[in-house]
Amino acid sequence: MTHLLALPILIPLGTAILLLLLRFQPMARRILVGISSLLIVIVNISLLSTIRTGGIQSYQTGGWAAPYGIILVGDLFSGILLVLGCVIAICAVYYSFAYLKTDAQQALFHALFFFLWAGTNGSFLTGDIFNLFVMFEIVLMSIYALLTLLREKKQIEAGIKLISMGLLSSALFLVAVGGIYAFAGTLNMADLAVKVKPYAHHPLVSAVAMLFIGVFGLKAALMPMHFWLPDVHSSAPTPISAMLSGILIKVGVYAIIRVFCLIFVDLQGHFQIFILTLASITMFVGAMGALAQSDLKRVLAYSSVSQIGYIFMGVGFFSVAGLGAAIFYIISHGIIKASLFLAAGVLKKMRGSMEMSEHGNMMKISPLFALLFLIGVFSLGGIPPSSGFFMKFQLIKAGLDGAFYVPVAVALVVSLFTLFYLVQAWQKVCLFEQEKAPEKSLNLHLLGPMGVLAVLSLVLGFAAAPVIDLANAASQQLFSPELYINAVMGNQ
Amino acid sequence: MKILLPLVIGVLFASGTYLILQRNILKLVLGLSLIGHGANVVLITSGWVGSGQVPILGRDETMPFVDPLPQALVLTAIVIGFAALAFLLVLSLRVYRDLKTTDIADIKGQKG
Repeated sequence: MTHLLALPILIPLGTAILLLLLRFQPMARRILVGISSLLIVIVNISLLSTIRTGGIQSYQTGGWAAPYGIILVGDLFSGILLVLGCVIAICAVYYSFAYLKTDAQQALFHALFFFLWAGTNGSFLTGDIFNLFVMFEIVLMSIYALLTLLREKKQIEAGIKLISMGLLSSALFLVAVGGIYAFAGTLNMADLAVKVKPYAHHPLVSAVAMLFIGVFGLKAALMPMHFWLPDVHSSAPTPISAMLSGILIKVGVYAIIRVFCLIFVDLQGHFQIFILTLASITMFVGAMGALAQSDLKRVLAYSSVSQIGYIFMGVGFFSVAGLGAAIFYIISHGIIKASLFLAAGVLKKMRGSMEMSEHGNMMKISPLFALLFLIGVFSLGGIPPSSGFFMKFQLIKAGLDGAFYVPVAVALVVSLFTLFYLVQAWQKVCLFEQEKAPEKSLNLHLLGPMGVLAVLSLVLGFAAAPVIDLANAASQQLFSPELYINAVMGNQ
Repeated sequence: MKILLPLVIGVLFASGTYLILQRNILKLVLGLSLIGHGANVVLITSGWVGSGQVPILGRDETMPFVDPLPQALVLTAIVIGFAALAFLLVLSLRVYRDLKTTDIADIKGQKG
């Protein structure tokens, strides 16, 4: 038993509390933020490598053995998401120092940001369904506060939407937890998997599975429940938009994959058509929404809805190849979308607006920005050497192997739209003439993190093979739930 | 009790849903809190045994007793729900001060 598994939750939690105490010492705060971010990156990467070599890890908090205590479990999938999360988060943290104007804002922002980070890491690691609820609430609470931190009117409107969504989804989550607890008498996910298996086709189990799709779908913005996402992701402060689209909507996807590959394994076939249909509609609706927007951040937010559809399509195949493709898609999309949102923030700082018609000429003002932005655009559009090509290629290959022709056809058509609206946005921002000169010059501290993420997505394209192998290994592990169950229940 | 609790849950969810569909922002808050409490009652019933006793040792241990775990869970859920509701109320107050309205449709009209 190693304490390594608890560190990704404990370090950010401790940092957040310390940051609140150090509210009036800007220099000490900066150092603390830097050191803890680096520590989390080191811990997460070493955790992933431990899981890679040593199999699924489990940790009993407080020393209470499996079905009774709260268990933390790290398998390859959660390890990958932890590392992805810290890559995006460290860029967002660095970005936020230049993005936020006043010191008071920074003080609150960073404390809340680390609470958010702790909640995200916690949701990936927990092995207990009620603990998952608590971690979700930590994430949601920090987002409520982070979203409305700058107190713009748009943010308050989005805040009301987000909190209504959050309260409704927590109520549904509690009903689902109550249902499954009344049925199985346990909350440990591995124990649930064992106890539910003989009764997989009991109507109550199907009802609870449906509720979980509703709850997690609401968080991941699956089609009929995507209404809140464009407002929230477009009005949040930019580093938070990058976190939201890059990693937080994937928390919902993670939870759906986790429950369907562990507790409701036998129901996969029943829900397949349902999930694939919703995924196809999500892709289409998101892309149509993105085409109609004039605000760059709203284009990106609708595009996130559309991309979530792709990820759910991979999940809906319920095959090792499909899920592997979905996991690679999560990694690749997270990096690209975070880079694009940070690019939008760079523009916002220059002209104070997000309307694309007020921007232009970036090609002349900063060719480097135009190039980095173009890498992101081509990557998400799926142009070959970038990682975006491989994420779509893997997904569509998995779809064709499983003979799911209709979703694959939708995916291909929608990817044309994706390329269209992204190139159009790039053109408006970088090529079109703009009479007005920008109010401020380009801030290199903002350009840096965006560039790092853009280059990373390109590198991921050239070195796709090892990452795809890792994603497939994670998917393989998810399809052998007995490994997970043994890791949790075995070491009593 | 067997009929009473499901009835209470039903009434809480139904009136919560009705309130959410209203245009007044305060009714939205009340509706969400009613739905939250409905969910809490659902969770309580999941540990409920027909004629169960209080789960305290030293009583008549031959009788079935109520599962105490859901009650602990509900306590957590109530605290979390309370925090989120308080935040939502502050935001509503902010909306009222900025826009002088409690109508959700008016907030939507005020883009930007």
